[in-house]
Amino acid sequence: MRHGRSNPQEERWRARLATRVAARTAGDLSRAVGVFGGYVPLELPLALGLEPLVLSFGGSPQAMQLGEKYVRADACPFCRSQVGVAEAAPWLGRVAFLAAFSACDQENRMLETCGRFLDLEIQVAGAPRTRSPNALARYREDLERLRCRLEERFEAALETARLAGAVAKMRRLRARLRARRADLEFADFAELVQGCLMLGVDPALEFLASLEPKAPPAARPLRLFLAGSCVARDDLVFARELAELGAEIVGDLTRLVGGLLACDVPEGTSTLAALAEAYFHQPDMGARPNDGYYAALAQAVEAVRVDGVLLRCLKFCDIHSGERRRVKEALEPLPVLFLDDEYDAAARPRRRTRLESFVEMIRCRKA
Amino acid sequence: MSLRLGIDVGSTTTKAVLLDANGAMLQSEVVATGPDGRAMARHLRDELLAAAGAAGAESGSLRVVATGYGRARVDFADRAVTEITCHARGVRFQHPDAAMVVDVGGQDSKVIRLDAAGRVEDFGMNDRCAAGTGSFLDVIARRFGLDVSELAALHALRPAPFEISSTCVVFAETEVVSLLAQGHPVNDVLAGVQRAVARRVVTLIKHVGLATPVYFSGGVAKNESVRREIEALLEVPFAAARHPQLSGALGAALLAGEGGASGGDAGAARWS
Repeated sequence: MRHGRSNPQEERWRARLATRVAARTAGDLSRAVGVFGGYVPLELPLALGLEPLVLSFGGSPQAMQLGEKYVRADACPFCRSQVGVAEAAPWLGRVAFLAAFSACDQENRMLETCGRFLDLEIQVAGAPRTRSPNALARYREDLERLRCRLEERFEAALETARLAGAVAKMRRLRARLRARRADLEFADFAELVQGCLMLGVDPALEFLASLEPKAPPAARPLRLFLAGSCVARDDLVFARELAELGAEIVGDLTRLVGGLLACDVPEGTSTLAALAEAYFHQPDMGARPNDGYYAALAQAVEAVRVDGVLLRCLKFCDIHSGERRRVKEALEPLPVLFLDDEYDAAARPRRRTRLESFVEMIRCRKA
Repeated sequence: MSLRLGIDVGSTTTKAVLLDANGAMLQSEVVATGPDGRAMARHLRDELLAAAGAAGAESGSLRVVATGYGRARVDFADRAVTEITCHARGVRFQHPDAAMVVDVGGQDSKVIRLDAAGRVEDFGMNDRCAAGTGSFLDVIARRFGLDVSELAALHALRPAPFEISSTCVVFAETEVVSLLAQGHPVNDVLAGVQRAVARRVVTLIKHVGLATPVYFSGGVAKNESVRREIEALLEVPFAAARHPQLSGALGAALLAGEGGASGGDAGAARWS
């Protein structure tokens, strides 16, 4: 069931996008590279003449239950549901290659499971865990290995001019997506970003160009910022519940929505080393020290002027849940709700109480 | 006569408080929720109105706010407000110096920090696990063939000689069986169980940040040994609210006389 405000114009673009994504996944995927995690530069496969498809699915109780066939039931809901979708979506098995940087051990296992049971050609590396020069050097090496593997697999060669072109194209795509932010509520915007990044870059640019201009939604009384665990495609119920309560997420720094758009590579970047440098320094809660994440979070929150911050952590997601105290301190005096969340429908009433209480608390403060 | 009714539909019990326009208590009641929270809420409303001699007061002169786990099911309420806001309001009304409220109910535990004006400043709730809630005590009591209300008295309020796992009620139950098999006295095991609940609650308090004076609300606040265990762990006075089980319903009744989910103290007479 959809919640919140929706109008025929929004339903039209959503239906068109869904149709295109369905057509894309039903079509030829022999040059499609599935991309998982925030450290695979989309520009790299693009520059090799390949199609990067950002894997952002999962997030439903049904997918989570399917995933339990392969991973243990107390694994994080995101990983469980990713495996579940992988099994339920036959197109994923037809993707030519899967490139991944995993942020935690559970993601590692999830990716290995997908590779093993879907018979996918896959390269998994660990996301950088520190900001040291050594970590950057290792990350460069990982990208170099990925380049070699993609070149060999697809008989392509990375050229500086084509890389610069891919950088420019991705900058254009990110800018066009960002430009739509004010026109859409968070859940719709997340659908747009994730849908476009499942189409491939050129079809996504074409789709965005075809969208009719739209008046921004009427402002809701409460403005919130979202941080924490990644938001998968079927995992937007909480955002629609917030909308029902009169609160709107006006900005986010999550891996599969705002985080994807925040990582802009400088114009003119034409070498893999420079590309690595740009992705290496993206705001990442998981990398130590993570002061850069806090600085980016504070800046992003400041930019949109909000009444409160929602720090949403999927159950068992240690990366974000371990730092709730620090997030609160970093954003003081803004109220921060730590929302321990999962996809299970049985958890919804409890989540609803937390969201409602947070909204009541902010309303009371504002009054 | 203008009346305000607060109904708190909890997972275990349903509580109702009826106030007059000045905030004076006319009636209150606590009953088991049973399988149909909506029917129970209706029954309580009718019973309290009848007892107050206002059986026909439903329309116009009666304002109703529902709260608690089953608040959305109270279809005759003018509005629903969360337990966080209502407990804060109810306890602050009973204890104007309250800076923090700890509410441990059947299914949830909540820690609520208040600002100087009595508004909710921050809060935390337990996650989905039943540990640190009344359900935890209920499960263990049943294991011993006891009613949960008998737990506190049984171990004669002495400190727990050892700890039981506070992370999961299922693990704790297994641990209880194991300790009994090892020959530990029942009272010691029960004391350990109550220490486990206390430790879980104190962890939640630490997450939110302790503020004093802190008051204990909810059904578990009637368990004197859990209260003492929490007090010992916190190392600050930890008093039960004057009417711990009614705090949520009282807060709801007070809010029924106001426009929004305000937490201020103005406009209501003392209730004791």
